[in-house]
Amino acid sequence: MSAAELLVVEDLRVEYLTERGDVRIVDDVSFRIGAGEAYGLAGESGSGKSTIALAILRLLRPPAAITNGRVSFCGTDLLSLNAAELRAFRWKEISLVTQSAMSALNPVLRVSDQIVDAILAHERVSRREALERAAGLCDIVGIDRERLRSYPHQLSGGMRQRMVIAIALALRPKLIIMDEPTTALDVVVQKQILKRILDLKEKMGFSILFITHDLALMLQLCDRIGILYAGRLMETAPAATLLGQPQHPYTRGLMSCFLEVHQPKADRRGIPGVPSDPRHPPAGCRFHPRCAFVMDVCRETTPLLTSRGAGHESACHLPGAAGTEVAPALIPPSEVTARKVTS
Amino acid sequence: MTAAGLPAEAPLLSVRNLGKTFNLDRGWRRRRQLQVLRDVSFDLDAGEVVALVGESGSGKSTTALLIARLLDPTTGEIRLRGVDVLASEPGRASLAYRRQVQMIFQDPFASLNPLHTIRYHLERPLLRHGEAKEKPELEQRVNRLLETVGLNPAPDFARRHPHQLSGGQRQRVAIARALAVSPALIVADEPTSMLDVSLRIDLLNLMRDIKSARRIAYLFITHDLGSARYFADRLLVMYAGEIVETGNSEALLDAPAHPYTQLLVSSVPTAGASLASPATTVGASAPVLGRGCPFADRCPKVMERCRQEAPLLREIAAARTVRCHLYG
Repeated sequence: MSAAELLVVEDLRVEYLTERGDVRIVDDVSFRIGAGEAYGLAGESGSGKSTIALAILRLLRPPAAITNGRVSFCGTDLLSLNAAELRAFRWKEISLVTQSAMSALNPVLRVSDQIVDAILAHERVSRREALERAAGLCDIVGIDRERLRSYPHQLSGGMRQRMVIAIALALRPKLIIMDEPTTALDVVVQKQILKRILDLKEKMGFSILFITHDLALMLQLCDRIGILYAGRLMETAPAATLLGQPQHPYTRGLMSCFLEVHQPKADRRGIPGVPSDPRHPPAGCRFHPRCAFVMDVCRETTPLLTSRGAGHESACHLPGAAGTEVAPALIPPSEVTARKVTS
Repeated sequence: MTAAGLPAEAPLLSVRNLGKTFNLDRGWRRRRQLQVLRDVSFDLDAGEVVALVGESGSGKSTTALLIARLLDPTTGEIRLRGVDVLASEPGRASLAYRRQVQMIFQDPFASLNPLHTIRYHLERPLLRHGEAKEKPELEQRVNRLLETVGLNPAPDFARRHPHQLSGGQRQRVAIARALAVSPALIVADEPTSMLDVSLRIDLLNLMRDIKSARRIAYLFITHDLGSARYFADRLLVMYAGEIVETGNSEALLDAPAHPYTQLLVSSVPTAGASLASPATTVGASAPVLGRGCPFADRCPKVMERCRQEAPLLREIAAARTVRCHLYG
């Protein structure tokens, strides 16, 4: 492990311990985030991405529980911290930006109080000093200082989300977990906020764990990306590699699902079938019932992440030598003969 | 009504100068009005897909509700096959109108009644509009509808309740329900935005197949420009309650003319592109319709004239209109 590694998640398993049996939501997920790195977890709803975020912050509530694995941050084992240690650790070291800024902010408190509270809870500074820092944070996220006196409902959605980011930055954490931070926003505002986040990351040097279902957004923002499906990591690679040489059939399916603004109007298909029921996961590879290249081995043996090139790992039984492009024969016939849509 | 003497070329739907103003009743003597839609005009031909795109609050859904006649416009007219429906049937829309114009809503979890089976949801419109009466015929029609939207085996799905279906399957039921009365126009308000990305394309493909097979027109409301390009023939871009640009979907997205459309198109996340954004500012609050151009405060090319006088929708090329002073 290099010294620059900030967060190490190893074989993380999260289960819902219910009366009708244990349901595995996150299944042996491992990844690492380096200092100053933006790591993205992409997946559809129910794939376990938000659960991983909550598990890292130890915010899971029963019946959800971490039943296996290790999470360490700068060498500290997060899973062994007691309540007091956790309270000192959360926000100071890792902060969280959630999707809904309206529910993240307290509607009956002025925004300034909410930023000041976060600072005072962790640092021995005067209220006045904390207020000054809140004003500085407003400058950083690009909001007029006057707006600090506002209540959340007086701000637009984009401003609220920037305020939440300001609170997340308040204690200068080393890692910010962003769980769909811009999903509720219009694209114009989304782009401005993401650009602001990237600028701040350059300036302040924090790392980001970015969670979204929008792969295009993730490819723009992140250095490395992990693709989750049904609680398991299917593929992980540097963003450019994933874009150029996606290996796993699920990743490729997911990419072909994106309807871009400037593509020719060719016929597209979604991924057939529906995500598996976590209570009854299929044997072998979780994706095999929806996979166009399914083989006998896929139905029996769960593939493990294996190297496909520099920093590129894929959990798939399909042969694919390191660094090579996907063989043309592996592309489904429907994509090869994409017919032009007339009308 | 003059059903007999119609010109043959009358478009399926023709909307002129549609406007909507809400009264904000703020108690005793403190009345305010909010204009959310102004001067919305467009035509829709049989079998054509027109997408309404724009950010939240731009008036897309209000336009949809007005055309489905779930809301009454303040000004303007709606013509269906040449008939001025607001004049011929003021107040509540007739059964005949509702048969021709069906709606699909965004949230498939809210648009189906949790207490009733899928069969009940599909039988209701068939009975109400007199499409089928006898039990065996009803059952056959329900099964055929479910098969049309790809819910097989149909008898099995007919017995289920909404909670036993996934989001994508529920949205298929919503489409089947709209198809039950053989409409000429389906108003679809963000039909795919609550679905997972891997399921969106299949739903759009289903809607497209139905369009080709039955010559159904769609008014497709979306904030996703990629889906709009994929599914729609023409785009109408809305901003602050006005249509600011119209055109063929590919031509418009490849070369947007209005500064707002340019901003919108350049803001869509694109894999592999940089995040460098064009010079613009985000308005502090939602834009309001006023004297000048509503986009003036955010526009990088704003001129003095833009703040004084509201631009009109002008044709700048064949089948291409823009509401901006830069173009004349």
